[in-house]
Amino acid sequence: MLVLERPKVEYRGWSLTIVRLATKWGPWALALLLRFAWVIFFAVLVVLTAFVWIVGRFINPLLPWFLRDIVVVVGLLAFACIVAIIGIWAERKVSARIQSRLGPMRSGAWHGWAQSLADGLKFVQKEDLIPHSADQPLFRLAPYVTLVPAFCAYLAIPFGASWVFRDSDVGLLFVLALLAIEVLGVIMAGWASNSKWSLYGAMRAACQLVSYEIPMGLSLLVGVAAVGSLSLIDLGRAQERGWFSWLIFQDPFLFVAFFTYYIASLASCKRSPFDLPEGESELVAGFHTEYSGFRFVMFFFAEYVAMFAVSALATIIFLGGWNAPVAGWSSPWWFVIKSAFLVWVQMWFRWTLPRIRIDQVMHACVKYLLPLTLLLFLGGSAWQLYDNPAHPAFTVFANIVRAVLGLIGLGLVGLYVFGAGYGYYYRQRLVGSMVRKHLPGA
Amino acid sequence: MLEKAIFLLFAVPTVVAGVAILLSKNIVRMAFWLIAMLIAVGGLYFLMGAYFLGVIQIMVYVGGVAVLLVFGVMLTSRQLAPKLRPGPMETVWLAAVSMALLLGLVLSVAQVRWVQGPIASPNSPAEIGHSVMGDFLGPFELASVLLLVAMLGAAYLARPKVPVQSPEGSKETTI
Amino acid sequence: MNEIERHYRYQGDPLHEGEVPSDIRTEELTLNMGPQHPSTHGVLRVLLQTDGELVLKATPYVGYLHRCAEKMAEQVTYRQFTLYTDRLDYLAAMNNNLGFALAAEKLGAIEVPARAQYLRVIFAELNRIASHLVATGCYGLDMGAFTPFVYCFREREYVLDLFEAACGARLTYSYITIGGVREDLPEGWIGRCREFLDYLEPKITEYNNLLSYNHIFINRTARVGVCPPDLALAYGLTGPCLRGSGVPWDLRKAMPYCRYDEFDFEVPVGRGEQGTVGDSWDRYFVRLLEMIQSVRIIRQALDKLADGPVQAKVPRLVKLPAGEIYYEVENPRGQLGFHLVSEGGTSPYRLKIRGPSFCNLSILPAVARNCLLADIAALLGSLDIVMGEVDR
Repeated sequence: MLVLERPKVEYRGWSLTIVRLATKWGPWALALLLRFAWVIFFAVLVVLTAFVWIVGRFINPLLPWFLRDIVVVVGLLAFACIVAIIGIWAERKVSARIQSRLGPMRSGAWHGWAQSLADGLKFVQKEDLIPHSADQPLFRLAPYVTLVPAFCAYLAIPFGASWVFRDSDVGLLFVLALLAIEVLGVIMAGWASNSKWSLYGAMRAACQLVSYEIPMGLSLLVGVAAVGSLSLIDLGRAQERGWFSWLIFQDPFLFVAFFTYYIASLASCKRSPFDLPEGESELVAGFHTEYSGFRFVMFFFAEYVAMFAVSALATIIFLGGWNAPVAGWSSPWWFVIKSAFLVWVQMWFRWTLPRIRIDQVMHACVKYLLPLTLLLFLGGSAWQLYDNPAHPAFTVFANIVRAVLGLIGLGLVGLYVFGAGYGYYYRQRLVGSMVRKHLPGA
Repeated sequence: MLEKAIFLLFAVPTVVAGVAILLSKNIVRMAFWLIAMLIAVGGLYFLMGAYFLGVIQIMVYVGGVAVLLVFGVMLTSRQLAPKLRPGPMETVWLAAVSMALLLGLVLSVAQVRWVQGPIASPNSPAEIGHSVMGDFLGPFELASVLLLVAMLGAAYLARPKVPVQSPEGSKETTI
Repeated sequence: MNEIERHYRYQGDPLHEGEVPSDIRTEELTLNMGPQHPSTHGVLRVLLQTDGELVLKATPYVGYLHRCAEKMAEQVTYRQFTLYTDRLDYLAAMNNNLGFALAAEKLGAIEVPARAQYLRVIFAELNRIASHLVATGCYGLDMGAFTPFVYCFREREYVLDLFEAACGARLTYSYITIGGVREDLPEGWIGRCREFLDYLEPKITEYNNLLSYNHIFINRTARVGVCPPDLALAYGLTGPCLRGSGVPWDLRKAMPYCRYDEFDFEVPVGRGEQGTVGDSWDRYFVRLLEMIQSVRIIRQALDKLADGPVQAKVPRLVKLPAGEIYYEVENPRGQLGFHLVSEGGTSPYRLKIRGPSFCNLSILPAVARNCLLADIAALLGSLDIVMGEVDR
């Protein structure tokens, strides 16, 4: 007689033990924590302040700075996590609304806000699968190599004129360098999986990301040339005087450079229409085909963290950073809102556009984007040569151009607001409203 | 104290990764060890206050060169690994050459008069830019010409071999 | 000669028989696309021989969904086999029902009442719309555009609602049976159908803006997977795939059945609007145009619908006279043929089915050469195969 035995599943590692304990006692601990949250908060604050004061006064005057660093790093980590969690939830809601669905509605009370948390909990509990023929150490390492640089990029990103962990005179390059390391994790994952689909994903990632790094950096350099500094704080400070002082409206080259940067940043984040490294209709799931459970979540997190990071760069360098459209109202909220808007546009693209083919990706980069950004860099630099008090006639012309560009920007924003409002107002009867060209016979 | 600890944090991985490159048998592993070493060296630059150099090290070597290296290596067959074992004669040759190189390196290091404490060298991007476009313009341009030649050579090597029907129809391209 | 080459020799690909590339080879990769793969539309396995992103050869392997439909036909009665036809091309079950019913009726010389004839046309065309909606949506998905897929399925739901109202099923209808249709329309169905047609027409043109004339989409599909007319004919392509190659061949026009000759409609063909004639974009676009024509046909059929019986007087246990018949109908995917051999009993002696998807798929190795990996998805999606019918 055939006896079907339940296969013995051997759970490996201490992580699962933690998860078991956490799922057993976690809710109680959380409830207790929330119940006395304010007490704990103030107690921690008082203890921390006292500790820092004592340390600074009696032991070593430099140590408080070290403690401050630790607190800020933890805060940035938390911020990046929140960005990823909200980003993943928002992606699902955005896609749902675009596709006339509701998306997650159950988890949490309001519009499924806790869906990402629930998914995270689910992923943590999954078995950590590693293919038998995979290159084990590299397979395990790859998610970290993808996620950690993306997190580290936040160390140099300023949220406000003084809201920065470290302002370095090479802050911009620092962020770009860290985003460049992220590619490695993808390649590592693709190669270590020992799956052909993963390998294809890794190859595509390497091709695409290395190529688009160049137009991306060059577009940013146009902004750098306009301000004359690589420090992100300096770049933000240069745009303090309201809407028309934002770098994107400073000269036509910067205006175009913003768009080239945005396209290149889509490619560097592997976002649609450049999502070839994981293009699921061709490569199953690309470089993370073999990943499951929490390792997969890490890739997912890294994607959203990097999305916000590249949008943050665009915000700081082109869109005025933390400065409000009206001078003097600057706040970190402006920075977050602008970056979040750019992230939303990335999602909008993803749920609208088909995927480009790999040769078209490379053609677009080498034949169009790269020469264009080189020209922009040249033009932007030349503009800086003439746009100074030594050339009064040109300065007048430049001011007119600035005003026109600023008005174009206002028009674009107005168009967006109008379009969104129109869509919202007529959301119930949009049947066929997009029709511009009828099919023959209709 | 702290500085020394952080120095070790970067220096030890540099050495370990360097040795690991030599010892690992898998060619892709070698490439990844190389990358680890490059990142650690970048960290050392940071520690010395050469931020620009450190960032450029990571951006160019790790983000660009190493990725392309891995890209090339990744496509080689996995059966290549055993072939990387040198034969007995080769071992003798290689030992001789590398000993000579090591000797030269040690001698040159011993002859350098090391400066204690900070030195006045161009550090900020602006200063580096001025010196590159000023004092070192000749070598800089020479290097760029060299790179251009290398790029042309690479393009020549990668020229079309299999004609492919391109999306534009009549034109022929290769992927 | 390695494994793959032996394989190719054995397969006997008529176009490239015994051909071994003489050029020095770089590392080639044999890639198994399927049987589980997102863009093979079922359990199709395509063996790809690739050089980097370049696909040198693609060979389809079928049979993962083989269910012996033809052999089963010999065991069951004619009426019972109608249920099996649902499972052939499960996206166009009505059309399959129609094909088998017509073949059996022709052999048995059964006269079908007029109302049933028009009902058959209505349901066949509605199912054509549903099937083409799936094809269009999935094609967008193959190209990486998620949203059109959901839109198309939303529209398809309305068709399925209509079917459910008429026959109670949403996928396997068995509605069109030998002698007519199973039952008459429910109350208010015609009004709902007209409502749907009015809703659908602007929607179809909306896909144009979303997908058809999308620059990226055109770049992905135009001049990709080109089947020239002569090649398409040589491989026995039918349906939108053949018409996409510019051959105006439609059984509904050429050999009208079910009173198709009474309707005023056009046969859209691929004109190479965005690239060359017979490329993937043409095949995709022909489907969109056919949906418009189907709407036209349904409108006319609804107008012509008069009261009357929906079933001919056919005994419950159908016995067909001894004889042989081959009958083809125009399915959404091409010509579905039933070769029915009867010895006069209650079940066929032999039934051979010509599945259009099977013949359409056969062109894959001839077309998918020296193209990119992503083009395979573009080509397969535009051929619009249903594995239930390929493997039968």
